[in-house]
Amino acid sequence: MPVEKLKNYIAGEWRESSAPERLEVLNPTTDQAIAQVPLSTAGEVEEAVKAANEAFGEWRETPPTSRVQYLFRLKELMEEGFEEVARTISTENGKTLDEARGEMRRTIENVEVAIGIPSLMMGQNLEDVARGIDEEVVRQPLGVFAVIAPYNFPAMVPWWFAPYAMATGNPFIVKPSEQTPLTQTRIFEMVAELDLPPGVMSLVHGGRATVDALLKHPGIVGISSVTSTPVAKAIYAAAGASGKRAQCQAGAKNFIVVMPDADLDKAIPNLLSSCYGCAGQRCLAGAVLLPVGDAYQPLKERFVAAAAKLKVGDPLDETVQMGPVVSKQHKERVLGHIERGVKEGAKLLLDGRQVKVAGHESGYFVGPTVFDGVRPEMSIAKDEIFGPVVSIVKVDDLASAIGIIDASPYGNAASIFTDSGSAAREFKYRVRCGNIGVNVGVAAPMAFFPFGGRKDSFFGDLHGQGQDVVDFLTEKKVVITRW
Amino acid sequence: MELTTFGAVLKFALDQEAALAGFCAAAAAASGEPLRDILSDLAVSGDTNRRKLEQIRRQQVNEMLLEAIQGLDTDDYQLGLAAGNGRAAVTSAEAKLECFYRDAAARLSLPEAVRSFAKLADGHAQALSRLTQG
Repeated sequence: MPVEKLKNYIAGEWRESSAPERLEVLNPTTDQAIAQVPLSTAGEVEEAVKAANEAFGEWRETPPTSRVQYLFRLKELMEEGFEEVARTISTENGKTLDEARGEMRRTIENVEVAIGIPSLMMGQNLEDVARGIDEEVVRQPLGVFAVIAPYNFPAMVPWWFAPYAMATGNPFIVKPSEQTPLTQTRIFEMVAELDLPPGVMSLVHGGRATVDALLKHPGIVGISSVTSTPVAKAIYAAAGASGKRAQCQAGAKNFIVVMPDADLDKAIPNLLSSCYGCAGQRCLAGAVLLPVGDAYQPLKERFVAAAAKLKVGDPLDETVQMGPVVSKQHKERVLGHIERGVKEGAKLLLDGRQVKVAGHESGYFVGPTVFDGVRPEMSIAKDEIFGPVVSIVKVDDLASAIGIIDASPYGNAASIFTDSGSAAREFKYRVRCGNIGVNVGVAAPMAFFPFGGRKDSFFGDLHGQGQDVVDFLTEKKVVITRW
Repeated sequence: MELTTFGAVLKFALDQEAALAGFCAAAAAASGEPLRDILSDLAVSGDTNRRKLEQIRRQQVNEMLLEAIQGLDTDDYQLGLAAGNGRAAVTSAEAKLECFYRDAAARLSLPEAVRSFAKLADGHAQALSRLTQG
């Protein structure tokens, strides 16, 4: 099969990159190269930013009702190309087709929500703030924004921001992960069919140097990113240093409390999806189970039995429930965490290290893994593993569980499974995480709500999606009038 | 083969609908009235059902479901279209598909998909009725 050489989409046209360096994009199921991605230069970033700034004037003056017509058409194209993009996600990322379809659905939902921009972008006014004087607030677009996207949701994450930028009148640049650049290439083939003014939407592939060029460029007014915590901190600092707005989603270690009164028939499937969906490569993935008191024994037995049955394999096989992790390096990293857990004295109840997939012996597979007897101070209970590895930490009561969660530097998500309204209320009131699930394993906000995150899981104040991203992308201007 | 995932169930349904629609179209061409009309209609219905199934696959997964679906095996729902001719083969296949959609609906946890599968089962039941009466 020929290896696709990816191009940038700049100023409304596909451009071959002049970058001296290209990386191979590998299929994590087969370890075979499927594409070459350019590590675009600062010069190419400059071209994209210049085209975007040139487009800004015309685009911001285009009525919002006209801007959203492009999004209506894009939604149609995304529905038509749904399966192709889903297969691309599975091929380059390794998540199963069902998971890839779920991701595409969430991508399209963001386009649908952004179509409501004529309402979402409205300002406020009040007559007679003083005699004969009226005051109003209008929202105005700011200029060129960009996103630095991760590999784990190659379709969805850029579109937590992109459709809202388009709709609010801001040109937008997407820098996909160099590990999973094909998905956005497919989506930008749809964008290219919209006949937008050149420069409104740009795709610039690349690596660290490309990111640095985006962060330093004075022609970009705001950066959104989803990365690990150290990278998010660096992006946030660099964006601040160059006067940009920034919203930087970061790493996570998510805890799930299971109370003795929880309905395990309902909880177990939720826990499985939370911990092993997308092979654990989600910033909302459950990583540590905190069974309270008598919940411990039945939860442990049933969870391990259910996890052991998950079918690991080629994500394009519709019957497979868990695909590989994204790269060989990441697999080694996950295996290293498992080794550390063993050395620290945790009991390995289910060992995913030896999993083999017939016909795909070179694939980056790690099977479902469960540790028991984990103590909160162990690395497997503290560090972000970003793989299908679950730690069980037995606790005596809800207060202890909340104490463990709040001691974590991360604050992305936490869930509780219980039949008690009082326990649920206490949990959602006290826990310092941005996304809380009550009898929900993956507390993933829908497109019309902001995607939360606190502490070392988020740097910034306005989040992606929903009204937050509209606020991030617009400036409020106050106009006081007397005639 | 066990159909343990939502995607696997949908793909099997899509394949079965395509096979039946193709068989109906070919059988219609070789049949006289009134069977030709019935089989032609069923071929069109098969295409409509495929579009519906593709829509379900695109639009009805609002959360990721990892728990295996249990109790659905492709062996139980093979249409056996090569074995029969015309009316008999299609009648048997319609009955199999109705049964498949009802069994699958009972095992899916997505209410919208359950409703859609029940409607698809009703459609095949009506086809069965036409074939046995017409």
